[in-house]
Amino acid sequence: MLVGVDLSAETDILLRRVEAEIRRRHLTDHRMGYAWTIVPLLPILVGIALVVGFLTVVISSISSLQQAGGSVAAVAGILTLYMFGLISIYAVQIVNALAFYFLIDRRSRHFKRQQLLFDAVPKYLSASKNFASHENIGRLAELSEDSMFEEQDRPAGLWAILSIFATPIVGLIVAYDLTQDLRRHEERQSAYQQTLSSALEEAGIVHLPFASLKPHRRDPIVYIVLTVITAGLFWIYWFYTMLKDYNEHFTEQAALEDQLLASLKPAMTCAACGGSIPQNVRFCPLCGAAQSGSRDTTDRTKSDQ
Amino acid sequence: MKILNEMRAIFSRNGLLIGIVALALFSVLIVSALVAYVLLSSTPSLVGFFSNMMESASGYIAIPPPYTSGLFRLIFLNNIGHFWNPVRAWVWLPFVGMFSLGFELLLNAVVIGGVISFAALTKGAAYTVAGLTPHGIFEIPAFILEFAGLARWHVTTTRAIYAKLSGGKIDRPLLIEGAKDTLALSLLSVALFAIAACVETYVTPHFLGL
Repeated sequence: MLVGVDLSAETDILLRRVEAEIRRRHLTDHRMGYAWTIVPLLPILVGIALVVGFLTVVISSISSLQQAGGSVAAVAGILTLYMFGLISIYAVQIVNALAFYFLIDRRSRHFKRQQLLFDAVPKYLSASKNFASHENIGRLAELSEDSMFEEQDRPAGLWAILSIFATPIVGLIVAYDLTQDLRRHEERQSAYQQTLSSALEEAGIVHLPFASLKPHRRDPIVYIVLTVITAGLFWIYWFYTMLKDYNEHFTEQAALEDQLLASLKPAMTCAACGGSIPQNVRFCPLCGAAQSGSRDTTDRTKSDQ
Repeated sequence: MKILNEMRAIFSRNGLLIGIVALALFSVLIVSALVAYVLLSSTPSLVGFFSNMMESASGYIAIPPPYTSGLFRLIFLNNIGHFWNPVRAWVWLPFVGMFSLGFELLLNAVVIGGVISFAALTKGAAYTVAGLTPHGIFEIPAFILEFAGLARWHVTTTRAIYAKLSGGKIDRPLLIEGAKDTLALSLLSVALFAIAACVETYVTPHFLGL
C-alpha cells in the first residue's frame, strides 16, 4: 500500500523551512569569478612597474643631470613615481580588502544557511516518521549542533578593514581560516550526508544515492610556509584555490540539496491532466482542475510506520 | 636498497615543496633574465657601469685563484652558510626564520638571472653556457633541495607550535618524520653543493680557458 507522508501542521512547517533554506541558496552561496585572481597579481604588477619606472628615472637622470635644469626633471620624475606608488598601493589594498570581504562573507552566509538547514532536516524527519531507534536522528542533531558551535560567523567587514593596514599578515590569517574552515566543514558535511542517507532508509524514504562530495584537503600550514618561502608567489595559487574550492563546494552542495528536497517533498499526480504537482494543492497549477484527493505516485514511502 | 627506497619516499612526501620551490626559482630567474637583458641591451652605459663596479669590487675581495683548495673552500662554505654561519643560520628558527627565505630565494633568482644576461651580452652565449652550466646542474638542484628541506622544517615546527599553542597534542610521528625529511634533504643538498664547488673550482676554469 502506498501511503503519503503524514503531514501534520508541524511537519508541514518544518518541511517548508527545509525548502525555504534550500531555495534561498542563491542569496548566500555566491560563486566568485576567477577574474578575482587579479588580486594577488596586482601587487606583483605594481612592483614590476615601480622598479622599471625607478630604473627609467635613474637612467634618464644620469644623462640629464649634466644639462641645465636636469636635476629638477630628475626630482620631478622621482616625485611622480612616488605619488604613483602611493596611489597604486592604496588601490591594491582596497581591491584586496574587497576580495577578503566577499570571500569571508560568502563563507559565513553559506555556513549559517547550512546550519539552519541541517537543523531543520532531523526535526522534520523526527516529527514526520516513527523511527525504531533514534540513533541516526540523534547523530544528525549532534552534527548540526557541532556545526553551530564550530562554524561561527567571521566578521567580514572587520577583516577587510584590517587587511588594508596589515595585508600580508591578515591575508595569511584569513587564508588559513578559510582553507581550514572549508576542510572541516566538508568533513562534517560528509558525516552528515552518510548519516542522513541511513536515516532516510530507516524512515523508508526512497532516495537516489547522494553524490559523494569532492573533498578539498589542503594543509594551510604547508601553504603558509610555501607562500612565505616563495616571496609571495605561491599566494597567487592559494588565492585561486580559495575561489575554486568554495565555488565547487557550493555547486556540489546545491546538487545534494536538490536530491534531498526531491526525497523529502512528495509530488502528486493531477487527477485531470496527469502532471506532477505539489502535494495538498487545491487546484492543479498546470490545468487548473480542482484536486479533491491526492495520490502519492512517487513511491517515496514504503509503508506507514 | 633500503636507503634508496627511503629516499624515494622522502622525495614523494616532499614533492610539492620541491616542485613549488623549483617553480618559484625558475619563474623569477627567467623574468629577471629577460628584464635584465632588455635593460642592459637598451642601455649600454649600464653594462659599463656594472663592469666597472665588478672590477672595483674584485680589488677589495681576495678571491683565491682557480684550481686551488682555497677557492673550493670559499665557494662551498659560502653555499652551505645556512648550516654553519650564525648570521645566516637563523633561518632555522621556527616560524620567524622562514621570513628571510623568501627574500633569499628572490635575491638568488634575480642575481642568477641578471648574471646570465650580463654574461651573455658581454662574453657571448658560449662563454655563459661554459661558465654556468657545469656547476649549475649541481648547484641549482642543491639550492632547491636546501630550500625544500628548510620548508619541511618550518612546516613541521609550525605545526608543532600551533598544536601546542592551541592546547592540542604534538603529533610525534609526524614531527620525527618531518625532522628526518629535513635532515635527508639537507644532507643531499650539502653533498650536491660540494660537487658543485668542486666542479666550479677544477672544471669550469678549464672550460673558460683560465
